[in-house]
Amino acid sequence: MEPLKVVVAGPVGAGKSTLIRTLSETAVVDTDALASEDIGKPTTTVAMDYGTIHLGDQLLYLFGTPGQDRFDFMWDVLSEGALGLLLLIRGDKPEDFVPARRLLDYLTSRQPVPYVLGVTRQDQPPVWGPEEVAPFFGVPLERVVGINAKNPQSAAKPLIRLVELIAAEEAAS
Amino acid sequence: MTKQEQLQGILRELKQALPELRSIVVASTDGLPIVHDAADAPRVAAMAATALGLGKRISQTTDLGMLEETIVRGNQGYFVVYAAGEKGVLAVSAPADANLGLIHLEARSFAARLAQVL
Amino acid sequence: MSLDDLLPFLSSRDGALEIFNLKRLPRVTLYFRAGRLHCIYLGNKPVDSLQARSVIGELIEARKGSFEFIPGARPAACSRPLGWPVDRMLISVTTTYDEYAQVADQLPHPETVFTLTHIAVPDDTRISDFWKRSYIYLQEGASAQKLSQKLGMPLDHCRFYLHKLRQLGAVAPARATAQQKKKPQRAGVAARLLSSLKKRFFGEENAWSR
Repeated sequence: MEPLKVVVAGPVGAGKSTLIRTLSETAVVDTDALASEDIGKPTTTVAMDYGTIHLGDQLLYLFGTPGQDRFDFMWDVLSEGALGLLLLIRGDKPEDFVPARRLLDYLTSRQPVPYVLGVTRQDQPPVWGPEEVAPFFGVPLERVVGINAKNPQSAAKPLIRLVELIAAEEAAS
Repeated sequence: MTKQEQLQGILRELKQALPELRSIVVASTDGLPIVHDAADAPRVAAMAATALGLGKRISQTTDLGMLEETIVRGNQGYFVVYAAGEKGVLAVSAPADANLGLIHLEARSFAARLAQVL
Repeated sequence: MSLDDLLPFLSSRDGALEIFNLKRLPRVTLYFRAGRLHCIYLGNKPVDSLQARSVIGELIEARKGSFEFIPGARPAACSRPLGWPVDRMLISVTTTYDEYAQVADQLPHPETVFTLTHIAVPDDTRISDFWKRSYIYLQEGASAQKLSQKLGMPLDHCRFYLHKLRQLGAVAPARATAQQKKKPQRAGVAARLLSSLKKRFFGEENAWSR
């Protein structure tokens, strides 16, 4: 069966690399470099993160993009042929909502791409949850899932929701 | 001399050593331009960092040893990216008829000098 | 010397201020009459009020340029005179630029496509000019990039106006939802993937449904 691909995007520090590491069965291939700016951690993704999930004879690839705007050329490269998009945002950093929204708008306004928003750090209150985040982004609540990127079941939820929504659309058409 | 001035000086010398280069960008490994002589430095800096990062990863994964450079070759020219120490990236673009061997020789020695300063 | 320094002098003179040697603009000619900015020429063509705002903004931002004042000069043609009082002109344009600096990092990506919502724009001159001109393009969906080309305005100005229109609720990013033509073997793929994922992470097919 043809392998499937899901892109994991979002601002710096949202938890993309963490999510992929949590879900991936193979060691994650990353392309980290030393951060020259203060982003709250020592390294940052400059090309992509790559992980895989084997489900019987179906292979699912997870591609994580770099977070900074200057790497926007990678968003298009990595989104090519993707089944859908997972956009992660840190629930405890509302100042990142604006760049995250700009990214969501860019990725979804030009080509039809199924998407789900994952709001991370739900295990570390005080934190914004899906009900608060959905109206800011102008997306239906069913497309927003709260998660803890380090927990496998929690991390799988936005992926499952994404595939649920795609399956529902498939069934309807 | 400030770091910036030193880097500018090295850039100027590189330009003199290799006048055929169309553009030169020195960037951080996370894609921010430091000094340059290029029209679209922010964009080029990010792409060079991505190319180097990916190149290093490919080199590691497919047992190529230490990455020397990453080359993108179009029918109208080359774009070559070198590591400048642990934290830096040197990216140059050259016309199609450029002598790559000579460029590698000079660029690598300049990359080493940049690494000292960065 | 910057444009703001010249304006008091110009508010009491009739004639043309020619500005050249600018980095980002061709020759600009500002025609003044009776204390008002009558007309602006960019090169040898008059500009409309929307472009005029951009030009003044760019002139204020420009750090180097040469100028010459020609007393009594009049434009060859001016179908729609601007009639902006010189002393108030500066305030309205610089306010835009201060605002712009504050929101520069919130502006939408140049290629994000926006469409109209059902909300109309109130008659605040600054926005409604842009609104009227961009309306036909926004109806079918347009990005700042496209509007910049079609309206002959700088890209960043278009991004700024789209940002303001979005704040007013008059436009929203298009969520492209056109049904893709799915390849035959993709049909049913999502359904199968869904049950595999649920089994893998939750141990059973019907776990955690919405």
